[in-house]
Amino acid sequence: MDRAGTIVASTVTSSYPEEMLHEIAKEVLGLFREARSAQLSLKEFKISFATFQVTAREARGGAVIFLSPSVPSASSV
Amino acid sequence: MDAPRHKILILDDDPEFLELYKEWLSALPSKPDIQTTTNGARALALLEADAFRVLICDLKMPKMDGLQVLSIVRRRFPELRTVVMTGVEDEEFRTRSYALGVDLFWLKPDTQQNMQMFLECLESLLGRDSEGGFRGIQSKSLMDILQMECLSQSSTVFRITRGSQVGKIWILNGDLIDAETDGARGEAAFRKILEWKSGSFETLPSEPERERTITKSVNALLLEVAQAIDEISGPAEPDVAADAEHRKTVWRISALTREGAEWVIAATADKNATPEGWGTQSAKELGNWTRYAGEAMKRLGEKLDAGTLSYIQAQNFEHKIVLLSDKNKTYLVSWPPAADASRIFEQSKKLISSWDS
Repeated sequence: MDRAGTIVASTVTSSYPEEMLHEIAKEVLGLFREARSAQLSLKEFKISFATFQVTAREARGGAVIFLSPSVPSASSV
Repeated sequence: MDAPRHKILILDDDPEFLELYKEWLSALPSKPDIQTTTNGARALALLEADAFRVLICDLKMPKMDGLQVLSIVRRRFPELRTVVMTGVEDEEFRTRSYALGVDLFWLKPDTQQNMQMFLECLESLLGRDSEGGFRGIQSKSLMDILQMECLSQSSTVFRITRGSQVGKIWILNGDLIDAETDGARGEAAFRKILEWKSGSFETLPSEPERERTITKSVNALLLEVAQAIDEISGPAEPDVAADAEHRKTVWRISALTREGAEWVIAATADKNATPEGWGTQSAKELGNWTRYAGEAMKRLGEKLDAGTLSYIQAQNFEHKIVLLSDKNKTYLVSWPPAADASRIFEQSKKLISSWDS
């Protein structure tokens, strides 16, 4: 997605609700933005939920986001 | 043949301060070569490129603060002498700095006399040969520490801190010559300080001109104090809560240093509560992000029906960080960039699980 949160390209199946992708985009960009305000300037992060993982890589104000099922043990970013 | 000139690197985000100190330090008798820089990344690059003798480092700086620089320097350049020079008088940062193995901790001198003392300390540090030895956190009784110093015939000044109480003990050529605390002086002050059951200490340059007020030998005094302590039952604790909090702070800072972490932030969901931080001066900003991240992920988890947040693991060029919750707090733990990404989640869990114990 670009810095405005617009999805530029996606390999997510079309059956997955687009509004969910926008929700994910909004929260991910928010995390990067707020981190910059806290002088943290993150390059990438992995969010691990019980059943779901979101890995995001900052890209010129936007982000590349990977969605995957959770794995049992922690793995590297 | 002339002795080689020592190199000093001064790191501070204030260019005017750098100019001023460059001028003052260049006038030291040993005529060191002074270089300056305003940011931590550049300082590390300079230290890699050349053999510096001393790093003088501010604490409060944007992006990479002094404690972060010192934790990297401690690992990469163990022979480098380090001096903290800060305008912030904070016991936690003094403790944290000494836990990182700094040689000197100075408040930015505000009088000519203090400036002169700082320059003398620095000159002494430049001249001190690398004798080897270890830096670290000591956990010994004050009696043991004093006995060791006196046996080695050394000259030094001990500054002992216990919560809000501060005491000093002067040793000259292995002889106990003076002590001072809370309006007391001499043997009375020495007895008072030795009654403290715990605290932290630092060594300061000796003061050969100090007036002698103690004439008894150190062993005789220590024996008298030990006997007096045995006779006293339950000495009054002036401020139990403050002492307990100080001990907890020291323990936490020791724990994070021991585990190799750089800093820890703890935040609750209550927006009115001030986030707590150890090892960083940016607790407020980082705490706000910690709180924000926790709330954002709670929203996202609910919308996606993905369950509760387990953790967030993130990185930039300066840190690897882990965000995780325990009980009713969210913690943010920072690790050096070279930390093993596959282990820091478990290491953070282990560190946090003992945080409030």
